[in-house]
Amino acid sequence: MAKTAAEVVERLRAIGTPGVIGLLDPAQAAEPDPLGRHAPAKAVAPPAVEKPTAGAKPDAEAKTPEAESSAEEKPSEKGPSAEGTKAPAKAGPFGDPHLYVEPAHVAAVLQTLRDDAELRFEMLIDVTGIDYKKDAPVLGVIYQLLSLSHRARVTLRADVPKVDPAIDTAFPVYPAADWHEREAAEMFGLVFRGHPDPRNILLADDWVGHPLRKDYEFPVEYHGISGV
Amino acid sequence: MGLLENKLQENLLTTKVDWLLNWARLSSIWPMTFGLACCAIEMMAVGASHHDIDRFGAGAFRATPRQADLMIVAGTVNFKMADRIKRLWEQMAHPKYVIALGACATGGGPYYKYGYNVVKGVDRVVPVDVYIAGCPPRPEALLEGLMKLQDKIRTQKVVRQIGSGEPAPFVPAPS
Repeated sequence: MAKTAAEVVERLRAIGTPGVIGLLDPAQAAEPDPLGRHAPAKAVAPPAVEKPTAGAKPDAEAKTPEAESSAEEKPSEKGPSAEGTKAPAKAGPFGDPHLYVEPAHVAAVLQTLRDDAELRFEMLIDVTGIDYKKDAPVLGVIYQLLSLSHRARVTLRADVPKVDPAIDTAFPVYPAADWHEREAAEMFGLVFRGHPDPRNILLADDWVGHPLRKDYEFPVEYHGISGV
Repeated sequence: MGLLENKLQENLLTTKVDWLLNWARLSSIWPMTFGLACCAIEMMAVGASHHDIDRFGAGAFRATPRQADLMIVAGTVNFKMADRIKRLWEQMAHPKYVIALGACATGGGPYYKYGYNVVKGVDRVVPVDVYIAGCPPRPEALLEGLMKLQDKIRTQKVVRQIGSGEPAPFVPAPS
């Protein structure tokens, strides 16, 4: 039963699912880190390697939501860090870290997450996008999943280039993604290939621009109605 | 009342007719439900039994604009909805009135600064007779707004001079 993101990564790698990059690696993170939230993870890396079986938390950065999962996260984090990610991912200030996935393999990963007996993430909670900063080269696509049978949550993240923000739709795996992807498409400009009904859902059909991007300019007028 | 146009002088009889017709109109304003957001809850509260709007004669909420006298715009108006509001207002028969209920319909409300999809006040789309402030306004505030509208109707002139039979063209509020 995979309960934390690290266990999910382990299980996916054990099965052999392609496209799983791993947990958050600060060196590869696309978003800016003005508050230095990612930096302390580097300081944590040496103690985790030196004390392989220590159940105690190395320092205050380890803010895991459940106390028991922190003990089992340490040995399982050795898996991803042994395979090449620079620093072990702690649960960040907002909970479990994102599970990075390559955009080309998102559909396969989602299918595995839904169908595998140990993972069983039956429910899609949200599909949304993130625009990190104005000159960031990527847009993030976030999938949040919930496992009712194992009582676990996981967040996936796939980064697509801003110049061609196309990704396969999650609709064949989770039909609930229909409306979520419509909203993400109109708000961020993401293109979900194979979506059954790619219309605007909240905005008008002839809306110009993608409002949740950082470089969005508010409309001056729409159909003769002033917007300033 | 085209029958009375230019047939009667401004005399006591006409004034009584004015009074009678205006009294009949203000005692049976039938609203059209236009609950868009949270203010709709307050409008429903006014329609319920405690703050009864039916005692003002305005309890017959009509869903169709053809049979309604009053459009209570209760809630935030999006650009997407603004087209529909304009169309429905045009489908209402004269005499028709509009109440802007709440901060969003009055002037954009809390979404004034960052609402990219919010019309900053429904008076940019339809002419408004009564504005009711509040977020949301108390049901009693909606009733007071209705009474202000009744005051406005009470002073309307039914018998009109020739040439002034058309309602004034709608000029949207300056932004």
